[in-house]
Amino acid sequence: MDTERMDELAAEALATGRIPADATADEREEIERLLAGARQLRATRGAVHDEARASMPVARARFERFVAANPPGHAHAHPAPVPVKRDGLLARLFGGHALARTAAVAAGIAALAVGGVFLSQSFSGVETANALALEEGDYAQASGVVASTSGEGAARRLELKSEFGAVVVSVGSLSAESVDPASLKAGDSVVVEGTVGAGRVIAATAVVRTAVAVDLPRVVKFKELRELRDGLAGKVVTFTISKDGTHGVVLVDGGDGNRYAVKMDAGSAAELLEKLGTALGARVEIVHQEGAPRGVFVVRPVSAATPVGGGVLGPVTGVVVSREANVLLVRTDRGPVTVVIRTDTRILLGTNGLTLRGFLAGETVAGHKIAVTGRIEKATGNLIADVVTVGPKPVQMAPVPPEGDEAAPAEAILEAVA
Amino acid sequence: MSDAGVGNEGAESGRDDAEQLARRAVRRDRDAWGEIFEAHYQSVYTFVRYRLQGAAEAEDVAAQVFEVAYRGADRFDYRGVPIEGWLIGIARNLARDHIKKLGRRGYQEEIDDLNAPAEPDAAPSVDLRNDLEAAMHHLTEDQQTVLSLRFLLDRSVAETAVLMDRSEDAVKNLQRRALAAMQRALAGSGYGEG
Repeated sequence: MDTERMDELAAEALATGRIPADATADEREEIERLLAGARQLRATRGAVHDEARASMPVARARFERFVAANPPGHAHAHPAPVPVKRDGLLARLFGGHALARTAAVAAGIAALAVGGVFLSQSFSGVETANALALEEGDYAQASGVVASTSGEGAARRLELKSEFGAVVVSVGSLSAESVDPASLKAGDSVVVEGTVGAGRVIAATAVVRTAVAVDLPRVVKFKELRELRDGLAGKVVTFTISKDGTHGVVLVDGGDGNRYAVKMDAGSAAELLEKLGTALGARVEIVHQEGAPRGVFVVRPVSAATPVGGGVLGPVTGVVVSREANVLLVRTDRGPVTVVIRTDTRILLGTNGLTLRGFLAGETVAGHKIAVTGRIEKATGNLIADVVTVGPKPVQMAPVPPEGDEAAPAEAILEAVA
Repeated sequence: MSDAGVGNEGAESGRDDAEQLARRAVRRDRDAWGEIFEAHYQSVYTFVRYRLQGAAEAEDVAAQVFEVAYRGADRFDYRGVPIEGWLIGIARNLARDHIKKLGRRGYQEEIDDLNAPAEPDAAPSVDLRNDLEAAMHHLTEDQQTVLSLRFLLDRSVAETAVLMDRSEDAVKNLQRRALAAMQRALAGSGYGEG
């Protein structure tokens, strides 16, 4: 069979759907097989296009976020490195006084989400905003009302309604300290903490019930904050940290009928998380940061959130005693805690000389103060980290022990910290 | 093939519009990138869909294509290169990298996948789609590319040749071999030869 002739015959048949009249029996047989294959591909074309259309709002929102973070003239059109602040945010957080393990969770209202943050005029629809709120990999603290429940055990799920829209929350793997997933029912007002996973389902590590039998919230729109006006402040109703830990987003209720989505630097995210335990319900002010990219702000707490939930969502804080691969031994005032860092754990670093690359490569963090938000694994008691904030080494502390030599030096560290 | 901005007033004005759009894109004009995204996202998604495993991966890689393109906008030479061709080229590279990366995935990621919520999909054609997806993984990258362009994106032989930077004869040969290879792969899934 002549290859060139066969290519031409097949091309004609595929273009017209008809087998050329001059094709031989053998050629017809092969062409029929080729046409069948093309038909199979084309038969799924509509379904694939439907998939593409369905995924577009999420992808569009993601791209908008990317473009907003990398405006023309920006030196490097890729995610900015973790900013280093002159004042040393983590020094403020950790220095001078013991960290209150507040675990304040807020009576927050509202919305799951975020995202509006980067919404441009043409991307400000609720659908897009909802999609932004659930960008895969984001760590999120949010609240809403349970509209329905399904599944049992590890498959237990909630459909949560918030001002931001509806989301699905997987509650099959909650922290040991969290509410019993089986007890959650429609009408419960809850605060959730977790990571946005595949299909934009929030895999919750903690859920706290804050009220019962409340009305389902009405979906509202959020405005992206691009230009700062003086005295802008409000209450945080949603808090997220990006997958790469370079920035966060808060949704702020201005109290004057306006709601803003505010992109904040990594330092602000760390401060809110560590100082307040949870940012939800906290009153914050928004200020400009010198040299920050347009649309990125510093968000400072003005007052703590209203504590609810018994501290379930608050971080565990302490001093790193040792590290072996991805497992940290952390000494806390509750006793030693084993912290497991996973590939999706967000690492926030301050002015401590550490780099993310160094940290991930195994650089020791023994002696550093640390705050960990995550889920306590029932079987092992280990804390599976969602977010880790690494502070500076305590000033003038005892010498850091060599890795693997934990006992006595750990005590020395703790004494120095105290 | 249709680039954003290409209308029906004729090929000449279409080229001018496309070139104008490309110039704006090179300057990272936000509106231009909005137009490009709207015009090409679905094509890019469709192009990578059967190379990857599932809708979530396709969405992720398709979104990355635009980020990479935007990042490298100032290096885009729009003279003679359609924007779609540029994006498809990026999509090919990203899909290839993504597949390589999956090959290096460790135990933890596999566990995470097992724990991830399943994608509900009760469409009648889902079996065929799954089998086509599996069959495509037996094909070479060029074969996958030509099938995606010709039969999912409905590009002509001539348009496919431009996008793949091949001659039309090469595309005709490649599409025939690709379809035959796919049929052989599908035969193992119970679709027979015809």
